[in-house]
Amino acid sequence: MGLTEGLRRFTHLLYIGTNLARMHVSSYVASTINTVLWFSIVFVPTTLFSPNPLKALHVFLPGTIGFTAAATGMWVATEFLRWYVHEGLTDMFRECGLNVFHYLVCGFHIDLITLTLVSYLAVTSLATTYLGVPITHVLPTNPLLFALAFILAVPAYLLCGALIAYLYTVTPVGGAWTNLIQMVLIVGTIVPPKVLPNPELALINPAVLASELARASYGANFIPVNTLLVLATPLALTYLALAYIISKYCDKYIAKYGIRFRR
Amino acid sequence: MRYQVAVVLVMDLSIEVVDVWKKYVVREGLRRRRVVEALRGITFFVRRGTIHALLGPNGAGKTTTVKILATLLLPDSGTVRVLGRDVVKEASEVRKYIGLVLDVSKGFYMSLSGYENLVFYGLLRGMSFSDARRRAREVLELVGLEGMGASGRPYYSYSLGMRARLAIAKALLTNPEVLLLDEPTLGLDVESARMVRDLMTRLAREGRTILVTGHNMYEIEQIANYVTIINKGKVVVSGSPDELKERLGLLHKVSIKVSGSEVSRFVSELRSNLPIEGLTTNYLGSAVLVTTYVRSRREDIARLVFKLSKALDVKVLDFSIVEPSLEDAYLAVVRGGGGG
Amino acid sequence: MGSSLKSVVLAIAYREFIFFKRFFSEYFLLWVIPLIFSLGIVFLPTTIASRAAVLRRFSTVVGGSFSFTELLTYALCMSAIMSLVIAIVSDVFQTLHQEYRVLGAMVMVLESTSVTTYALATAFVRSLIMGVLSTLYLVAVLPLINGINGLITYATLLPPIIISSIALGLYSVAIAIPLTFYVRLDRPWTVANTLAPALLAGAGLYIPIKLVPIVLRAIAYTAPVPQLCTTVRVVTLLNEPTQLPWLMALVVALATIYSLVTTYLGRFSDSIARRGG
Repeated sequence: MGLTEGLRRFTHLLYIGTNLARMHVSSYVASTINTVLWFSIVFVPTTLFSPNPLKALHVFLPGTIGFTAAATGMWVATEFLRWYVHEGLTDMFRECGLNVFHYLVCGFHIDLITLTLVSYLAVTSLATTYLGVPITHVLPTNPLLFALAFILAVPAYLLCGALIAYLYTVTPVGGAWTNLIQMVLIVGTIVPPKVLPNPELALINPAVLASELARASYGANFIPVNTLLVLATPLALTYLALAYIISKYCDKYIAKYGIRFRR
Repeated sequence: MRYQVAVVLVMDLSIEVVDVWKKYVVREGLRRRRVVEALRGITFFVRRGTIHALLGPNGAGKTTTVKILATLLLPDSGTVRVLGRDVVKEASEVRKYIGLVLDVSKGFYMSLSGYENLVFYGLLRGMSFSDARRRAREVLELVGLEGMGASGRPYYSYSLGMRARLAIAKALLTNPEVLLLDEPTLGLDVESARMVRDLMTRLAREGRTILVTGHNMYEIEQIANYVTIINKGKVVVSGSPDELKERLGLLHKVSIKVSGSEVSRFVSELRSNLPIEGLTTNYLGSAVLVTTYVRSRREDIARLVFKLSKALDVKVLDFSIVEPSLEDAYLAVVRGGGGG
Repeated sequence: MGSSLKSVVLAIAYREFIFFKRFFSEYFLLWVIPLIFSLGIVFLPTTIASRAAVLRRFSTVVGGSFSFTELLTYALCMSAIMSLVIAIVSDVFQTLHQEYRVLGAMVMVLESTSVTTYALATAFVRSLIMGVLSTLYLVAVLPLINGINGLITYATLLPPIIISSIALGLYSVAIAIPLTFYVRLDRPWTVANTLAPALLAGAGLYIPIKLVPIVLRAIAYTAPVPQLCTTVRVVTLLNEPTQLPWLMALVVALATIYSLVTTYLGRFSDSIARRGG
């Protein structure tokens, strides 16, 4: 596939995703509100119980950038290989030569803007209400690093989605496992890499790169910024390639063995 | 109305539907509403121990009628009785005596097995736990799901045929006197459809009353003792299949393939000289196929056709007189605008 | 043979028992995820500060002087409230909607009984079973932290959990009925999935409710969740069991209101369902 054709396909996928999102605006609004509420249930006590609440906010909250991106990717893949199967929509996509990777690409822009960025901004604003601090205290001091974090959340979204897709394709596990597996993603993201013997080990988690860069934008990172910047490009490309390869494999497997019905 | 009272007194009726009206209000957008008259004063009766078919095109009001009988819907006006009990005022009494099949493809919990769904339903209907379990096994055996090894499998894994069998099992669980079956063979394979038909015939022989709706005229003709055809919410015709065919003529469907310059006159002469109910013409190249239902003796029809073929510039290429099927009768009635 | 409240209760209990066996993994999640949350709230601050400093800060925020064991017990019991609210609110709501609008299983109910009877039975039986089962893990976890006192804590909390579960079930059904029968929602789970965290966030859960913004607090006060949070605080931190009867009386009063609302709405819903709504 040439570059022009690739770009055309990419924009076509974004167009599909945008139209799908337009059909489900209420879902996105509700999901964003949900995310804000859940984070406030967890993060407000966490920051209030910390001796330095503002520092806690700078450490824990940016970790959610990578976590929500990766978790959202997992849920999108779950939707494709679970709920859509019931309604025959998975086969509709597959008829058109689209697999789970394409479905993830369709919606990444909407998902990351609403469920990651908007939720993050809403939670930080809400947190300032509880802490009684002005909003300027919770804005990133290095917006470029924050923007980079957001961009690098995309490969994490795609790879984690592809990994869950593999799980649902090849094994008979139920949908509840997505809930459990996403808990693994908190190590290095919401739980800072500091808890590990070597913080760099946390980079095994695809979501950590984005989280640490977001933390770095507040000056609260645990992995040196230079390490993060050097690793950014190779890791991002690796995640993208792996996501593509795994998704292709999933599609071949489904073509051979079919998709299981799963509650 | 006096006739209807007389009918009720003379016949042993299980179901009485008298002048029933029902409309739905359909919302379109935020403010607009459209009123759909599903039933417009239907009246029919079902005798005890018979299989009575309720036929009609899509949207005629069959399912609405079945739901009213099953106490799932309230009529706007009119009287509906099942075994002498009013479905509105004595709904809880009526429910004790009916079994219902509504949509064979759903109506159960996906994650429960066929057996578990039936036990749940039995408990809901007030059976004891042991009765519900025993009876669930019995009806699963009766409909063949036990033999397939499917009764313990989750409902979501059932094929359409198995779902239909389970729906019928559910209807039979409480051993009802009256069965209301809305398209029970829809989408079924030949074997499953045959099983359902045989079961219905057996149940009717046992003295149960069965009201069945459907579109498969061949099937209905095989099993139904009586037929009521409704269209656009009104009863068009009611009676046994033979009575219905007789009302359309002396059981004759006439097909004449003619060619010539005076075909139109030929057709108009047919109309003038025969008591015709329903006539269609199809152009087949230079010839015309005239199909009609005629209330005349076979000999009279043949004599007229012969006379016209001599008198006019037409050539009769093909000519047949056959007894119409229930499907032909149904189409003639419905296409004739009955119930509009 | 005919349907009564008893037969409907029996049917629902039978079905819930099967669902528990079949979806044990989801119950397992209901135990594990709130457990992770509660441990996170206690241990996350210790990743950037000392345990003693966190404990002092917690004591200041909540008001009092507490040990780390008390903090942990408190956090674990609060996670149980989280499980309970998620299980009851989301599940009761979504199941009613699924039964009526999607599965068609509501036909079985309408053939047998009325919407009101079914809704009330669901609210009682479902909530009772889910309330107990979703918090069952406390029986194992609390003794691990606090020995026999942990078991006593659980035994003290069990009756309020049961009463509050039923009240929450009635609350959920009262909300679910109009949203199921009166309107057509394309994506009903959005409401259920938003209501549960809104109630929890509004009740404060781990923090005193007075710190919660008034808008969220107002939402939480429509349900018995704040009273249940206060009960847990009273039992695990303040050790004032004399407050319990008053708190539970309030919950029972709320439950009575919800059941009246459910009965009232249920009658109209039955009519709507049988008029072809």
